[in-house]
Amino acid sequence: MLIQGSCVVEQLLTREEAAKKLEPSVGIRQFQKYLDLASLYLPEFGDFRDEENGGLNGRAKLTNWHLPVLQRIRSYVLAKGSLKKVAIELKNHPEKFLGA
Amino acid sequence: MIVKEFAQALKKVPGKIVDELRRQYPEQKWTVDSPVPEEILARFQDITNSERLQPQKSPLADIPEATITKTDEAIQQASYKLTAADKETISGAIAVQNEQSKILGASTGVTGALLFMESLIGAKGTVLDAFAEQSMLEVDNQITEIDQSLINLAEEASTRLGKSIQKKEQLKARLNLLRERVSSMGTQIRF
Repeated sequence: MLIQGSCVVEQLLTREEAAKKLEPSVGIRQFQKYLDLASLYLPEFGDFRDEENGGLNGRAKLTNWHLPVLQRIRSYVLAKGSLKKVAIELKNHPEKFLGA
Repeated sequence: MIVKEFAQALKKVPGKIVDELRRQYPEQKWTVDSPVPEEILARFQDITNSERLQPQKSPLADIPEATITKTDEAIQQASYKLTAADKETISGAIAVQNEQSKILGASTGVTGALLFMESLIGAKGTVLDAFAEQSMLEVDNQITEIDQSLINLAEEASTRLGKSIQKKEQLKARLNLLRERVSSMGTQIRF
């Protein structure tokens, strides 16, 4: 019997691939900024913070599961026009960016 | 006191302090050279005090400690007093924040569980669909088989019919032959 259907599996992404997957796509520098904000304010992105020295942790693995949150940050940046506003929103209402 | 010095006094990495400051004050830009806010300094007063006062001691050695000489010093003192009163509020806020994190964690858990259920039901549906499809295919096969049998039966029947018609013709011919014989016999007898 052949079972047909689709199922989402964890897929490792490089920072470049993930940056291209955002809608609209962004450059790698901008992407790192989003990741920086997400890891600073969302516990779910804590892995992306360097525990010893602060700043971003380059070794943390990025997967497709991280994309929806980063996409929300991307959309919010587009809507509000500044990273600072996103940072304030992330601090005050992190749940807006998590969601199912 | 700038972040770099503050980190040194606390024996921490400046990067971590910058991270923490960014978390607390997202509206500002922070680097290792930014001045540390007074309220933070006040919170760590005991640790930073010794480091902070040492370089000032020699030039101010002859001035009594209680004398306030500059306006900014006055502001500092006032802010210390204010922050001491605020400490309780801050610890209360931290407790609230902790509670918030707990609730957030729980809600994330619920979200995760719901996602799990959703994909479970999805996958189950996929399997059932596939099964139903397979069953339908089986029924279709049966129907075609039955059709084929019926066609075969009809064919067989028509062959039989054809054969029996043939036989009937043969029988008719024989009967005619017999009739002819009988009639010729009759003439023979007549003659």
